[in-house]
Amino acid sequence: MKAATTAGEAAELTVSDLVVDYPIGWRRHRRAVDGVSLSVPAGRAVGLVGESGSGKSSLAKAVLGMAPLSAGRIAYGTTVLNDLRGAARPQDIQVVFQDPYSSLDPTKTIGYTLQEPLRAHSARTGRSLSRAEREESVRAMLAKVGLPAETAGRYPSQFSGGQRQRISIARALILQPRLLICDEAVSALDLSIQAQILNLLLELQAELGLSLLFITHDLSVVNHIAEDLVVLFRGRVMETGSAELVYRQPQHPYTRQLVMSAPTQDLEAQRARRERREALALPPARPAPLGEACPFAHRCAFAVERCRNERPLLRDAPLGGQVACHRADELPPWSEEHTQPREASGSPA
Amino acid sequence: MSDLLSTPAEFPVRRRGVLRAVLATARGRITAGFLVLLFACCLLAPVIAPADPLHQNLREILQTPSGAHWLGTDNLGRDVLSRLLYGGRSSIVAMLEGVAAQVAVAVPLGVAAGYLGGRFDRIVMRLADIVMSVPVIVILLAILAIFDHSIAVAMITLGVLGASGMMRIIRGTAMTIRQELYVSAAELLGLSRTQIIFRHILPRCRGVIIVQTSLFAALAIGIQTGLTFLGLGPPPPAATWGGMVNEAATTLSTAPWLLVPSGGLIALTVLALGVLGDTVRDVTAQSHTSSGGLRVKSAKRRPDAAQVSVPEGTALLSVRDLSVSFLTPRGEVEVLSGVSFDLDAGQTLGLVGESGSGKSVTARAVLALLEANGAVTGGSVIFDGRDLTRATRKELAALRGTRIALISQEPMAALDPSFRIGSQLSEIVRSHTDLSREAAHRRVLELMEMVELPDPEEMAKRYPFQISGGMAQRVAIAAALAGSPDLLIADEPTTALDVTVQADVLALLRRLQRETGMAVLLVTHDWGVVADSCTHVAVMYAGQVVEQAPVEQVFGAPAHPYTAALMASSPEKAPRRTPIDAIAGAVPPPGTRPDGCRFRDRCALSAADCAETDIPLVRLNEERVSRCIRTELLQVQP
Amino acid sequence: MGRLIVHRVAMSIPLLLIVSLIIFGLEAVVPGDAASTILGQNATPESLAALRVQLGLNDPWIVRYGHWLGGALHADLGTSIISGVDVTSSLNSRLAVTLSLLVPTMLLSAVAGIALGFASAVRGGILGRFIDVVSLFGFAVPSFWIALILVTFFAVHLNLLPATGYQDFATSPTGWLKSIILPVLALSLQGITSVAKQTRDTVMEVLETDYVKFLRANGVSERSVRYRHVLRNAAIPVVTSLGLVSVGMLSGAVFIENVFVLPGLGSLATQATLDHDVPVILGVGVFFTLCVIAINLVIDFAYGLLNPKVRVS
Repeated sequence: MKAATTAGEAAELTVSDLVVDYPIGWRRHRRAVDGVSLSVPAGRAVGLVGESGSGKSSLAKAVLGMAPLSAGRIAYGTTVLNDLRGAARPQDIQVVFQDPYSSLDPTKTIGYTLQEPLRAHSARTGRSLSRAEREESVRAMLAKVGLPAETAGRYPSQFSGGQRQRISIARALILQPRLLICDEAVSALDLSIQAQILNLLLELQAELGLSLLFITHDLSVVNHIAEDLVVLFRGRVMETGSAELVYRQPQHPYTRQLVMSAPTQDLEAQRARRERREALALPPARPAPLGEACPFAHRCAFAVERCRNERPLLRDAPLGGQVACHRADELPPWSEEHTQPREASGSPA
Repeated sequence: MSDLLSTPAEFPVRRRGVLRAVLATARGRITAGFLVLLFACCLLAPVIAPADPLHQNLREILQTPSGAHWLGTDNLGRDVLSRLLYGGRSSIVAMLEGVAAQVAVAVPLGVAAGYLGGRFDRIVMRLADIVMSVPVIVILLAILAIFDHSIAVAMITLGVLGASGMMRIIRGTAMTIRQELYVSAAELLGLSRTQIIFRHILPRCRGVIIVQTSLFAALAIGIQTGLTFLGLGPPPPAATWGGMVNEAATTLSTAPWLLVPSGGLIALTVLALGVLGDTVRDVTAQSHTSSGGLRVKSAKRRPDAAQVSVPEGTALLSVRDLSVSFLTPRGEVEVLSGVSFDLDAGQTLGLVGESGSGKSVTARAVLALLEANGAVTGGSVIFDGRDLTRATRKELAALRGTRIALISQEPMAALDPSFRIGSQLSEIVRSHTDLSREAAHRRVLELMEMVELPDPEEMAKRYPFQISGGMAQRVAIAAALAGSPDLLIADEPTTALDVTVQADVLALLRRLQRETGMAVLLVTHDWGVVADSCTHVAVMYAGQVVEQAPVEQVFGAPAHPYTAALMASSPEKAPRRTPIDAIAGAVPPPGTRPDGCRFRDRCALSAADCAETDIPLVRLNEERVSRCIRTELLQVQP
Repeated sequence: MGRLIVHRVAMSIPLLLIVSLIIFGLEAVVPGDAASTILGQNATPESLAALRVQLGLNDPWIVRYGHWLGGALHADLGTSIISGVDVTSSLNSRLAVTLSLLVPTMLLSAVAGIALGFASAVRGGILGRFIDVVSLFGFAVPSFWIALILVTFFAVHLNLLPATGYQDFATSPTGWLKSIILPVLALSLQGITSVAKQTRDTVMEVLETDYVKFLRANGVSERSVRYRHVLRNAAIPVVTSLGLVSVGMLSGAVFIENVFVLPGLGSLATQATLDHDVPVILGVGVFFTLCVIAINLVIDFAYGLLNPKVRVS
C-alpha cells in the first residue's frame, strides 16, 4: 500500500494498577476495573477474556481514552495516555468494535467513512492529501480486507454483518496503526463468518506487524488468536500467562470453571468437561462480597476463610504465568483427559 | 440473531434522499402536491383570484356555488374563493413564523443536549419540563392583548413554547446516535464536537426534524385559524380563514354551506401536513417491530398442499415439508422451504444453523406463533398424531403449556415487566389446573425450587427487572414446566447468558429432562451446546434441513458438506494462530437462494447436477438423512 | 413514588412564576399601559399621569410584579382595568363552567379513546382502519368548526339541544346536562381520537413483545393476555399521552366556550384580550396553570401506580 501517512514505531502498551469507576446516581459509583495491570508487547497478540461485568470492555475504553480513570497509568511506549483526549492521542492505537451494524454511519458511503480518518489526520498534521491519494488509499485498504473497489461508493445498509466488520477493520487500519484493539470484534458474527474475520485478522497482523489486544468472552476464539491470555473477573486479573498454559493448565479456580463451562464441539471432551464440572459441586451463585476478599470466593469450590478476608495478589504461579489465588499451590492437578484435534494435528505454532 | 427479516443486507436498496423517498409514495405525492398547489395559489392570489376579496355586492349575498362564484358568496356578497386565497396568505405566513421559531430553538438545543449530555442536558430538560406545562393559550392571549393583536408575535411565541416537544424528540434521537459505535470511532479520530454533530448526528436527525416540523406546522395552522376565529387577528374586513368560519357562524341557519369552504380548507391543509409528517416518519423510520411496522395480510397456504399423508412412525413431533412465508414491504418471501424432521419422546433434538437458516422460525411455526405477517404456506406439523398447522385456536390454546411449552432467547424480555415473578408463575400454574390461590402459590414455590432458584419466597416477590438474566431464564423454565409438557421448545435458551451461567442452565435442563422424560427441541447456533445436551441433531441451511442424525453419527462423520464445513469453521478445529477452514461467502438470504442445492455456491464438492433439480432428503440409514447427492464423496474426505 | 409527587409539586412553583413573569414582563417592555387603555384616546396627559400614580404604574416593573405576587399569595389577583371588578372573584364564579366542560371531556376522551384504541388493536381489520382514518380526521378538523357543525345539526335542524348558553347545575341539573352535551362532544373529538390512536399503536407494540408470545406459548388464556398483561403494559405510555392531551384541551376550551357562549374562563380571557385587560388574562393564566398542575399530579399518581419501577424505588 502506498504510504499515505507516516507510521510510528511499534511500542509496548502498558497498563498499571488501573482503576475505573462509573458514577451511578449521586456520589456513588460502581467500580468496573479494580487495579488491573497488563502489557501488550510490540507485535504480540494478547487476549483479554472475561464474562459480563468482568470489566473487559471498560478496560478497552480506558485504553482508548473513553472511560474515567480513578487511578493507575496507561502508557504506549513512553507516551502516557492517561489525560490525552481526541486529537492529542497517538493514532497508533485503533479499535474494531463488536456491533457491525452500529459501527458504520448509515448516512455516509463507505468511501466517506474510510476517508474520514485520513482527513482528520491531515487536519492534525497539516499535511493534506489529494483526493486521488485518499481514494487510492481507500482502494488499497479495501483490497487488503478482501472487498472490491466498488464498495467505496455504497452505503452500509447494502452489506452483511461480516462485510461490515471488514469495513470496520479497514477503517481502523487505514492510518497504519501499530496496535489494534478488538473489542468483541467477532462476537456478533456467525460461526462461518467469524472464521473468515479471524483469518483476516491473523493475516493482517502478520503482514503489518500489528500488536493485538483481543477482548472477548469466548474462550475458544481467544485461545485461537492470542499468544498471551489475561483472565478478568469482576474488574480484577485472576490469571495471566501464555495462551497455551492458561488454556491447557489453568491454575486459578475461576479459569478452570470458565474452561469447564465452555462447551466444546467434541462429544467425548465435552462429556469429560461436564462430568468434571458436576463433580466439583459448585456452590450456587450468590451475591458476592467485595472489598478485601477474593471476588471469586463465593463461587469457588476451594475457598477457605482466608479467601473471604484477604484479597489475593497476582503472583508467580507454580507452572508459569501469574495467578491471583491463595491456594494456587494446593489445587488438584488439571488435565484434559481427551485429546483434541489440535493435538492430533501437531503441536501449536 | 434470529431476526433474519430485519437484516438490511437482504434487500439491498440504494439510500435515497428523504424527499425522493416521500414522493415515491402515493400519500407523499398527494399531500405534497396539494400543499405546493395551495401555497402557490395563495401566493399568487393577487394574480389569479377571480375577484377582489373586499368587494361587496349586497345584491348577491349568500349565494351557493355557481359559474361566477365557484365557492359562492358570503353575507356581504363577497367572493368566497377569493377571500380564501387571500386569507390563506396570512395563515401560511403565520405558520412559517411559528415553524421558524420552533426549529431555531428546538434543533440546536435538542442536538446539543442529546449529544453533550451531562449538566447542560439536565438543565435544558428541566426547563423543557416546565415549559411543556405552560398553558400556551393564555400566553398567546396575553401576547395578543399586549401587542395589539399581532399574530406574528403570537406565532413566534407559540414556536418558542412549542419547541420543547420537538426538542425532546431530537434530544432522544441524538442520545441514541451518540451511543452508536461510529460516533465513538469519530471521537477516537479526534474530530471536534462540532464536526461530529454536523457530520454524524444532524444527518440522522433529519427525519425527525422534518416529521416534527410538519406536525407543528399543522398545529400552527390550527392555532392561527382559531385565534382569527376569535377575532384576535387582523380586524375585519381583512380575509382570514378563521374569520370566515366566524362570519359563516352568524348565518348558520340560513346559509350552512358557508361553513364548508373555509372549515374544509383548514381541515384539508392540517390533514395534508399531518399525513405528510406521517409519511416522512414511515419512510425514515427503522423497522421497529418484527413485522417491519407493517400490518399485512398473511400469506396464503398453497392449495396443492392440502393433502397430507398420515404420519408414519411413532415420533412425538413430526415436521413434514413445512414451508413458511413472510409478507414484507417487498413482497412475499419464502423463509422455510419444505422443512422436515422427527423428534421422539425423551429425545433432545438440536436444531442447528447460522442466522438466516430459519431455525427460530421453525420453532415458532411449530407452536403456531409466527409474527402477524408470517404464515405456513405448506406442509404439516404432526404432534402426537395431530396436525398443528390445521388446529383451531382453541385446540392450540389447549396444547400450549400443557403439552408443548416454550422458553426463548431473551429471558428478561420473556417476563412481563409489570407483574411480580410469583404472580406470573401463579397465573400460568392456575391456567393449567384449577388449584386454589394458596395451592397455586405452593406449586410456584415447588417449581422455583425445582429450577434451583435460591430463596423462592423472596424471589417470588421480585419484579423481572430486579433479577439477573440467568435467574430470569430459570424463572422462564419454571413457567414452561408448570404444565408438565411433553415437548419443550427452547429457542437459543442460553445465547444471551454468560458461559458459566449457560453451563448451569444447560445442566438444569438436562436434569429436568431426565426427571420428566419430556422431549426437547433445542434451537442453537453453537455446536458445543449440541455436543453437551442433544441426542439428535438437525442441521438447517437457507430454510431447509440439510442433515438429521443422532449426535454420535454427526460428530463422527458429517454426511452433508455444509455440516462438515460449519464444524470445521470453529476456531477449536484449527491449531492456534493458523487459518481456520472458513466457508467462503455468506448464507443467501430468503428471496435470493439459488435453485437446486442451496449450498452449491459455497460447496467444494458441487458439480453440474447439484444445480439441476431441488435436492431431496436422502435416507442414509435408519436414523440418518442428508440433502446431498454426493455424500459418498464426503465420506472419503478427511 | 412519594418523591415523584414531591418533585412535581416543587416544579409547580417555578411554573407559576414563569407564566406570570412572561405575561408581566411582556407588558412592561411594550409601550402603552393600563392608564392609556382605561382612559382611551381622549385622555389628557394630566389625567394619564394622575391615573398612573393611582395605579402605581410609575414603579419599576419588578416592584409592581412583587406587589402582584404578594397579592397573589393571598388569593388577590388584582382588579380588572376595564370593569374594576376583583379578578379572583370573577374567576371563581366562572371556574365551575370551565370545569363542567373540561372534566367530562377528559373522562370521555380517556374512556372512549382507550376502549376504541384497544378494540381496534386486538381486532384489527375494518375497525383498525376506521380508527386510523377517524383519528386523522380528529387531528385535522378544528374543534370550533366541529362545534358549529354540531350546532347546525342538533340545535338548528333537529332542535334537540340548545345552541348556546349555560345553565347552572344547582338550578337545573337537566338544563346543565343539555347545555354541556354539545360543547363536550365538540371538544372530545380530538381527545378521543388522539387517545385512541396512541392506545392502538401502543397495544399493537405490546402484542408483539416477547413476553406476550411467552405467555401465549405457555398456555395463558388469550383473555388474560389481553386484559391483564397487554392492557396493563400499554397503560403506561397511554397515561402519559393522556396528560398531554388534557393539557392541550385547555386551548380547545377557549375556542369552544366562545362558540357556545359559555361564561367560563376561556370566554373571559378572550374578552379580556379584546379589551387589553391584562390583569384578567394574568388571573386566567394562574388558574389554567393550576389546572395543568392538577392534571400532572393525577397523571404522575396513575403512572406511579402502573409502573412497578417507580413504585419499587
